[in-house]
Amino acid sequence: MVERVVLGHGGGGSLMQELIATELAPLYSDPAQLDLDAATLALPHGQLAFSSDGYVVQPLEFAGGDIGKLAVIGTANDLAMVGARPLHLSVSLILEEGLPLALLRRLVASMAEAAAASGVTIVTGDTKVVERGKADGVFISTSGIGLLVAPARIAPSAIRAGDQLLISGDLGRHGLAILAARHGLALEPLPSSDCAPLWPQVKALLEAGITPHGLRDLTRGGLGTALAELAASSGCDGLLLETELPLAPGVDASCALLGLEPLHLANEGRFVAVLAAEQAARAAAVLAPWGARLVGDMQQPVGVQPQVRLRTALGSERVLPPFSGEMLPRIC
Amino acid sequence: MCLAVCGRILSISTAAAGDPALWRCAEVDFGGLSQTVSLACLPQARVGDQVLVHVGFALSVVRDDP
Amino acid sequence: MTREPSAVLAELQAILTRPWTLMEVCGGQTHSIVRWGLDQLLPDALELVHGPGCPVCVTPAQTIEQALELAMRPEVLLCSFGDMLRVPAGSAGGTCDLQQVRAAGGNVRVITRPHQVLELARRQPERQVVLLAVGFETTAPAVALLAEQACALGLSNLSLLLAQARVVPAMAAIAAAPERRVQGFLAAGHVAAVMGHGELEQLAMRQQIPVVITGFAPLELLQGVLACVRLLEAGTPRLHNAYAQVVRPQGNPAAQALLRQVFAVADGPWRGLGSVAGGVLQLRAAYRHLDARVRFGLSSPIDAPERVCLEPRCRADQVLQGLLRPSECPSFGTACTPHHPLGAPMVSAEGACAAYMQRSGRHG
Repeated sequence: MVERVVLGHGGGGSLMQELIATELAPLYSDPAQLDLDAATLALPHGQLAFSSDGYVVQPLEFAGGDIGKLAVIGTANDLAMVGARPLHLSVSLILEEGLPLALLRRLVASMAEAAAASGVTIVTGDTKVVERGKADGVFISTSGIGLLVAPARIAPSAIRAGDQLLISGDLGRHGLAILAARHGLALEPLPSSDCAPLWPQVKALLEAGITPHGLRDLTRGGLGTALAELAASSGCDGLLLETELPLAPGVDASCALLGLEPLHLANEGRFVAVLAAEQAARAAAVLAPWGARLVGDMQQPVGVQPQVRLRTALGSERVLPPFSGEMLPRIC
Repeated sequence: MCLAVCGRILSISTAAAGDPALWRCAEVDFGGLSQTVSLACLPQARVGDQVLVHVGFALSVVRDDP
Repeated sequence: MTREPSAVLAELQAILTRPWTLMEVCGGQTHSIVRWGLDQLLPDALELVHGPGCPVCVTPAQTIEQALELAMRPEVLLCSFGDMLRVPAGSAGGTCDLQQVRAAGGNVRVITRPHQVLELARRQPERQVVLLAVGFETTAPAVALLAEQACALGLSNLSLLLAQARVVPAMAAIAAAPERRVQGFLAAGHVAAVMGHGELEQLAMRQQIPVVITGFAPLELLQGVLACVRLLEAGTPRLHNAYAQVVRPQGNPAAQALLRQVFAVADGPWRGLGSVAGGVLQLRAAYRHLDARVRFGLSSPIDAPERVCLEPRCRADQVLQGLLRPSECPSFGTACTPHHPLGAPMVSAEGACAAYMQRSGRHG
């Protein structure tokens, strides 16, 4: 008989205490925190960054990661994107009645490992259980605080026409791993999510005296959507050079087969940096070990609204269509 | 319409029972991604051929020099 | 013959003596033209008009309504290609689509190949699995095969909500229209891979209009345009195959035989165009038991007159015939956008209106 989460595990009684003590304790850096309603922290001097995110991915486990790893690294990366060193996380779990305990154990171990890799401690959290059918196995919500290290504000208001675009590595790995799992794509080699902490790279840029005008991780909606948001916020067009965009292996063939736009594929370990033109080359050199590439620039808008444009290999231009929010394969 | 991609036939198989033509399939390589494709309407296709595939169905053998 | 796009463009510029209006019929070619910005590279004297070869755009609104209704039935699993998910039925009651029906609890499954429908029907015998079968002759053989395989397996829980259309009859209707602006056709290369030269040759002769079978890659499209302009400049309206690496004169005889076995040609409605003579496929009597409309007691669009279920502000009918540029529509980019489409050509990734939205701002 498979051991599973039952409704009682969320009831606040002895079953829940047992769940926390045996299954969830490995999440927490300080077991004493388990006894408290809130974490008390000694905070360093300076400005804090604070971020929150919810994670509902299906499937729960995939090549290169799982929902737990995503939840920890995702919020840590959101902090890194404003130039903050991630420090502490809270983890809220909503478990579906019937979730195998063995799966929960794997997710917890994965989250603990991801926290260590990100340099964060998980200091507080909450667990609830809902009836079978009311959650997709597990929903995870994480909030995090970090210490602002960047000397200047990294926000779209800093972006100017002429700024260069640098992406930190190849595109599409996470999106492709999810697609392959969902649509049963037989890819050789099997695609693996690129889920990874981004703070080491942001730290490297800041330590080299480079302050980006913009940083955006390329999660849902991919580079295309991130750049569309930066364009809308900054009032500049984003222009991408198609020949410079590094797509991960298998992305081209899979997108061609399913009729998907590679620039809308999610990435969980990649970001785009918007850099002052005079800092771009040095930034590219600093991030070269991670596979970073200069791929375009920000420009004065040519149309009524700021938009994302692509220059094709033929020298023509097109506007990147907006991501509807769902990756729908086409046959037409 | 007609999002179709070219791929190379790696292997061919038929179902154990029933009309072999109806169930004739190939494993096709699309540059690192392989999929099972129906050859029901390409009886002449052979391993190594390049075929044009739409919705998992092979429509034509592609010739390099028509 | 391998050439660079620049060489093809140079020759095009050299032989062009006057303006020409060409229509590419296939939505996949529209998508490719926009994706590669080919219309920007062509000489200004050439206008490319996007034709109605987008099965998503021309599926009757009534059929979409039927799909929505079936999807809400608890015993039904409605399977559809992703392209159809956001197409509004456009009836007076509101712009409902399959995505919204799914959100409301309807059973909608996105598939990428008809074979998946077979697998679903076998694995879920308690469910009625229905395929919203949209497409032209490129997709029809795969749907016909599904019908044959369902019969061979004796499946009683699989049916087809058919919206299969035929391209050449629509081209003929456009070519025969008195207000026709189109002077040459780029014919759908993948449809021709199945159907061969025959019908296209007849079209060229009857309507005295050049027809060039064209591929989808940027070089193939440019070569198709060049071949068409050559014919126009020479005044020789005939068929030319510029996609011979894929298309044979006889097409795919096995696929054609399968189509004849399963389907019969009929007059039928195209959304926005009205009735097209010989424009649709319907299941033959031996396969009528697989017809979802028969199984679920729904009326056929062939029997019922085409209800003009377009949103009143939508000018898709004129756009699909190449009589109105999308950018000339009063709702273009304002009331009608990819996020809030009034009609199918703005939803479909290959629809003419969506294609125009992707043109860079400077090109309007």
